[in-house]
Amino acid sequence: MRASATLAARDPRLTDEPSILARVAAGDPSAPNECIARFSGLVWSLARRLCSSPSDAEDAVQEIFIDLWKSAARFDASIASETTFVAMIARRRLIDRGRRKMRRPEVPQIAETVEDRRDRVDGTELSEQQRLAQRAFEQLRPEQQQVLQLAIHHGCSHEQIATATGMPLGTVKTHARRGLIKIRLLLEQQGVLSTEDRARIENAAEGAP
Amino acid sequence: MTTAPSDFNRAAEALRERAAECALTGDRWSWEDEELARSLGIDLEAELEAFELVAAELAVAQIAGNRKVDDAVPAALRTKLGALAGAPIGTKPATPDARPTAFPARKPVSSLRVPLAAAAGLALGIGATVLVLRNDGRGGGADADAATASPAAFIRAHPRAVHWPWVGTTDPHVVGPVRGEAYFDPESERGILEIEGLAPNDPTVEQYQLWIFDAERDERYPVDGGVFDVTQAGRVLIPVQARLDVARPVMFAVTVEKPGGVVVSARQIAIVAKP
Repeated sequence: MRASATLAARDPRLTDEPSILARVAAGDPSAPNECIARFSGLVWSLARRLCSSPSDAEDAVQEIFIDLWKSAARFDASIASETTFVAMIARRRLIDRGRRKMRRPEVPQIAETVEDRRDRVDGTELSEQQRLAQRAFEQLRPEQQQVLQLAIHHGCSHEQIATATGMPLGTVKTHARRGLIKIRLLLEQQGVLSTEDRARIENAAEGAP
Repeated sequence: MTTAPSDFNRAAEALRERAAECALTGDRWSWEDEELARSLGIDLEAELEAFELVAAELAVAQIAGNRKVDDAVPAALRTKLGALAGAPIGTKPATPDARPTAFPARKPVSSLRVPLAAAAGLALGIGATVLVLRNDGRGGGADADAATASPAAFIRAHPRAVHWPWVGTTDPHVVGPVRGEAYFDPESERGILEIEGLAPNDPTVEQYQLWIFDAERDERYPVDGGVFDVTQAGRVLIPVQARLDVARPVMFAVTVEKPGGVVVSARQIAIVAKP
């Protein structure tokens, strides 16, 4: 994994337990099933949000796990948590599938995007790392939150976001990239993320409205 | 000519914004951006991955904080994933007209490669291709989902899949006009074999074995696509799931082997599919 950024593994599970992905890469025959047991919920949740149908999501999940096993040797616990790495591989595949099919999920109603609690499962608790990420997200401007939530959580293209929100396309792009840059900076400031080149990130973030 | 600090910062900022955008959209930057990044000493791939990690972190946080009722993994998908991970054969549903099997553990690849000179060449009627079939040690797995798909459905789901017609050899297992095609999608590494004209086999005596030839690999060492049985005369559909990368398939061959498949083929080729 080549990244100038480092996401610290804050979840104790990620440091106390041996890496499943390392065991997959090493050919441990029990590791793929453990990998599925631990991450299939996350991968399925990502796929359901970014795929157009449940059957499409099922196909995507299978492809993602194959990708994951092929990429397992690239996992480095000093760079990212397993959960983050798995989510990154999953998003790559899901974005790639969406682009290949040239269709995206329906744009959700805007009212749902910022605070959708209708179907929420009670009792869900965030890990410390997730809480920090969520807190960083909440520090963005509302427009940036809206754009990033549509892009990341709902898999909407910039064009779809522009249509759904009425923002000019250029504004959507600006909110998206500057919001992401700002979160990267905030995560670094909170110790979740460290970069080799903080000054440049800060310069980029300063341009954010 | 040197770059002024302010120009440098602006250019670096623009490149970083481009990387952030690519992390969200899956776009790629232009070669001009790449050249500029190189001249400024910025690793765009590293920047992209850093932003991909940030986006992944946000996605995880959003899911954890907003888990929905339909986030539970369907039981059917769990079964498919179990099969994908190499679960015992008993966990895999059988296909209606063919019975794909799991792959037994085999010896390491390195000890099984056979030098070309040690194997007799095999000239096929449709093109003299020298084959030294080997098992890659990982094999492929049957996919229950693809088993229910028709070739048309497979092509719809995998529009970039290759599909080539089968051609029969003089092998006695070819018992009628050979029809059907081999369908394979290199991106998902899934495929489906539609075959007509092969004799039903007794799986306690012999099985059919698929081999996938990849332009990116030594042609002497095709990828093992798995063993399967033909349980009835007529048309059969065999799902394929390769677990090794098959970047550019150029030919498929089906051989007749002992039960469970082999690591080095007896080179009894029944049918071949190629462009």
